[in-house]
Amino acid sequence: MGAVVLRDIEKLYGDTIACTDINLSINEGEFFTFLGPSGCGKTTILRLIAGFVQPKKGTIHLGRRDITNLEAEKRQVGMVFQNYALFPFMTVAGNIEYGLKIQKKSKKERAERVEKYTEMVGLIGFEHRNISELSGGEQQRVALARSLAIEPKVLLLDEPLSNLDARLRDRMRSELKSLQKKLGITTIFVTHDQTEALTMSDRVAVFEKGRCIQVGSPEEIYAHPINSFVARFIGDTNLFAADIKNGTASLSDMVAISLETQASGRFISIRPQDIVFSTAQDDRPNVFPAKVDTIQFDGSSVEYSVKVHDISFRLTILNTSTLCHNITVGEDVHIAIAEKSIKVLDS
Amino acid sequence: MDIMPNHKKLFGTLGVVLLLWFLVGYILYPALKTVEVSLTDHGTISLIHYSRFFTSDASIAPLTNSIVLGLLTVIVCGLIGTALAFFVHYFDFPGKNIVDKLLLMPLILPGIVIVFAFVQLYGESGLVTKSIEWLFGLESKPYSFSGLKGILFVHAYTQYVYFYISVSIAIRHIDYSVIESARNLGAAKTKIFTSVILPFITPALISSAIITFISGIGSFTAPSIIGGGYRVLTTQILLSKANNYMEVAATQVVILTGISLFLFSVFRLYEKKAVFTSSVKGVSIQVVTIKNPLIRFLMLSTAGILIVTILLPVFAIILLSFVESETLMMNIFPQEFTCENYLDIFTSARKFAPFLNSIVMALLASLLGLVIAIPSSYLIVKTQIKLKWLIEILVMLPWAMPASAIAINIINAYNTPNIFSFNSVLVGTFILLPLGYFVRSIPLMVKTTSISFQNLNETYIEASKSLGASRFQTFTRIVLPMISPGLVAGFLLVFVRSIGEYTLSVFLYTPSNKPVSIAVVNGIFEYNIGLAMAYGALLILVTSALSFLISKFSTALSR
Ligand SMILES: Nc1ncnc2c1ncn2[C@@H]1O[C@H](COP(=O)(O)OP(=O)(O)OP(=O)(O)O)[C@@H](O)[C@H]1O
Ligand SMILES: [Mg+2]
Repeated sequence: MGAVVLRDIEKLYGDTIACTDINLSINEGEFFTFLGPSGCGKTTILRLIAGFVQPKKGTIHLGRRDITNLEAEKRQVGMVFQNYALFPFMTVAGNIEYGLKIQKKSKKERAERVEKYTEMVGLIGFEHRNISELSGGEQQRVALARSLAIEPKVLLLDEPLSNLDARLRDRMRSELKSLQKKLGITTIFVTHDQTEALTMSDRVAVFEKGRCIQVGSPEEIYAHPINSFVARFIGDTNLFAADIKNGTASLSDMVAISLETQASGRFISIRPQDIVFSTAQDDRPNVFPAKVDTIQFDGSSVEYSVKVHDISFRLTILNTSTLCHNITVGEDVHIAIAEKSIKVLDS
Repeated sequence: MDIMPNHKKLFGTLGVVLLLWFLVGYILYPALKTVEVSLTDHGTISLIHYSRFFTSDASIAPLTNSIVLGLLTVIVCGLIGTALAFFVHYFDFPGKNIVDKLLLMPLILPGIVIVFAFVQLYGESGLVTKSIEWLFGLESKPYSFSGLKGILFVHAYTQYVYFYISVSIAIRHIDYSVIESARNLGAAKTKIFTSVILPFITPALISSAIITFISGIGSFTAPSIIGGGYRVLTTQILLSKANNYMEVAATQVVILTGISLFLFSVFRLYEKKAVFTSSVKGVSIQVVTIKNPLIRFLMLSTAGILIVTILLPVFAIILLSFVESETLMMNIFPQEFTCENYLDIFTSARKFAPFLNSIVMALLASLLGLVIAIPSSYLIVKTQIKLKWLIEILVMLPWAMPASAIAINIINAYNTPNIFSFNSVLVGTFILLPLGYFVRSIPLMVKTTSISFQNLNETYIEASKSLGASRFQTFTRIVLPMISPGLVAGFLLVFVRSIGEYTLSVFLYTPSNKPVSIAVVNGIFEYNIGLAMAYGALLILVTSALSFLISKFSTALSR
């Protein structure tokens, strides 16, 4: 029974609204991610679920049980802290065993579980090390094993990968994900890194200023951002305020883009990879003459910034394309924007 | 701590009120009481004691002497402490770590024991004095070890430590890349010293100078034993008290405390403003390895001489503790050795009593210290309560009070019944000394316990809760193990500082409540030097053993 339901949750710190109007339903066994910029209230919601702080209003259910007023220690919610909070005066095994001792498990069972979870996180042989003798990645694994060992109903992870270097972060990302799959434990993962959110999650909730703006699968959120904030925050985009009417979006006096729909709105968003180079002969709609401004090579792809009259567009071309090699700065080119890849947004 | 049930809030408030009541009652009120006494003449308010003080040469002289002593102490200790810090932390030589540890020793040795060790070494019939006379066939003594020179000599040995510690820390914080880049820019060595190194250690020099000055003018032990005709304020205070001129004593205390307090406030302001640490990412200083064999030899000899000089007083005490006092009177150098003195202490209840008494009183002071320091440092470090500033000031106030002032304050406050002593007179009772020891050490204790609480991050508590531990389990299994090294270290520190304490003891002891430091002095004046030194050796044994423990706990603390 690991489903978590938040209903109409609000939390204030003094006059600051840390989060408000939070309605979320996290399914059993789901890998659910809270994504948002710093200070948007992600940690606060996690701490509300863990029971370290109390909401001003609203209810929290874990399974069928209302846990809104239950003490933290009785919630059976495991938490991995951003700084890991490993007990410095205990060994690796001591840390993992701590929750089991609290649960008054027999010595034999404790030993078995410690072994099981040490192995699961790949720390066999480290049991008797002191915490100060571990690297950041190893500490992270201990923290994970420690919260998993009590076999909680829900696992909460507060930016667990943010203290690791890029390479290790990539590896831990997939390890964490496969571990979660294997255990089938309901997991709430907090991050401000969109790549982490998109690669690991079953569903993502995007937060801004204490509010949850959109919930959906990574594909949904990427393909159909609900507003300009989400569009900008998830993936890279060309975002323009536009005058939209009669199936045309005017970006300026000189540049107007034709749309597939008659929808109204105030912004349009175009992903950089949805813009391609073209030729004057191309007779599809939305082909524009342009001048190349900058070229930025980043290994697997190349990013161009081009100007169509007074409007700048960014396009990303995979490095495999032959086009990449013969375009230079200042060159006159043509770009094409597929009508169906243009999103119209209200706000 | 979001929602706290009402009854817990009530308990919390009650606790804070109790703590403040105690701190005010035993730190602030006694000081104010002394101010009141100094402003009283035959029951009426009067400034007469101050006008008498400042118009009589006889009372101005000790004040001037105290200030001169303080200044000279700063100069002497500044030179020694800074030189030692550079010697140990700037150069590489074998035995460096031992020298570093040994240099901190004067911090833990009881002052009274050191003074007598010096007398036995460098005094008129001291071992070193006599050796020099004998070696060079001198007719008269080569130097006189009394008065200002003698006091300064003892201060040089006992008080360089502040300079040594803080300059050492500063040196370790020197950003070596700054030196490298100065070199790169072609700066000469002297230029590097004045433009790079000096600015780094200046804050350390200034703050140690202030602290050393405060401790110099507050020094009592050395002036009282070897000061001879060099009278300073602290010894005059004892004299006034002995003659029962309490109002005069109070006036002298107010003047002495006033100077200390003023300088201490300057120190705190300076400490807040000065930037003591350098850029975090800097390269730390690289020790210089000397290649020239002659200079290497000289450095090694210096290290050797240092070690001998530091250890000599300790050896002297241990040596003399095995000597029969009578034979010492007859021979230049001790000839026969015996365990008699130790046997005496451990078999005669009368002779053991002072030692036991000091242990008990030091334990009491340390316990009281814990009881007060734990809530105080908790409130200071972990909470945002409104009266936090008051608690902080009250527990830090005794830094600025010389021991003689603390003693007089306590006497003035508790020779009549009042609410803080539950309407009883404390003067003449046993509790007075432990109380004095406690007041003297509370700032240090709070400092130590505060570190514990600073280490105790809130997330450890939350982690424990999320693993299912109750409040009580979290406290016993996480909080206690995390703060206890600091608490134990603080406890032992107060114990070490109290067991051989002399100044407060002289002011506050009663014949039925004699501490071991007084027994040492009595032994010396009864020409029972062996016995006195045996007490001293036992004190050194206890304090060094405990200091070893303290350093163990401190490393646990910094882990
Ligand atoms: N204990 C507190 N007291 C007062 N305000 C707080 C407290 N904790 C958080 N806040 C405020 O609540 C808001 C949300 O904070 P929260 O820590 O939940 O953000 P976050 O999304 O986790 O940010 P980050 O990505 O930086 O960790 C912020 O404006 C923060 O300043
Ligand atoms: Mg956060």
